[in-house]
Amino acid sequence: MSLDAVDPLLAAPKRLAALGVLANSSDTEFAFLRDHLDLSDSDLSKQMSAMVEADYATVRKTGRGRHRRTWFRITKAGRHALTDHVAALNALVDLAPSAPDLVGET
Amino acid sequence: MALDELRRAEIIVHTRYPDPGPAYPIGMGLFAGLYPAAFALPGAAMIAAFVVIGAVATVLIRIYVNRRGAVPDARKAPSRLRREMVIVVVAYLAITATAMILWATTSWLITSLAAAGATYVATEIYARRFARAARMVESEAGIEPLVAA
Repeated sequence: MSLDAVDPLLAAPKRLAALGVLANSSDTEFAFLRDHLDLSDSDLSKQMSAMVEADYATVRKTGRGRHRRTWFRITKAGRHALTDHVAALNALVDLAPSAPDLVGET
Repeated sequence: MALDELRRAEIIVHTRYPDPGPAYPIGMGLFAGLYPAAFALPGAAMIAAFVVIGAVATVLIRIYVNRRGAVPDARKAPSRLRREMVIVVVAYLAITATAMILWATTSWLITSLAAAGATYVATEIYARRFARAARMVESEAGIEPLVAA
């Protein structure tokens, strides 16, 4: 397992967390992600646009006016990307030398 | 760091929800009570009653889902929460079986009241147990408690 297996789109922890939320629910609303991931409207909008563009998530709008809501759903590609990315991160964590080893090498 | 953030995100989908308060057990109890009562109605009235009960239940579920902002996948819930869900499903099945026996042996009114009361109690206990389990799951994962969901 190398750094190549790490998905650059999911390298941002907040984006990874957002996809983690989507992977655990059938539908997730914009406000839920914003409130629970501590993101601003504009930041979340930017992050989610990137994921929709990469076909990791789909977007659906419901309601009108004040009741308008934006719902996201993970795609099959998004689920695969998340699984692969997490496996790559775990492999890197396992490969990483412990702190005493690093000290010994210098 | 990224994996910690992911783990937290995967948990909060299941543990953060707006507390429906007493409306939840009361609504469930009412639904359980109306269901056998609707069966006692003649032909077309019974069908109309089921349609109305189904429509009201659908609207209420939609309102709650909109308030919650997420539809968690129960299969991926932490085991502590999944256990609570299994227990309440078993309790509802037991109530349904008991209601069927009562339906065959007593009046619709007794069946209706018994189903409503038992469902109210089961739901009230479930809501409390689930909330406690959710707090425990968060605390075990080192997630800071939330003041208001």
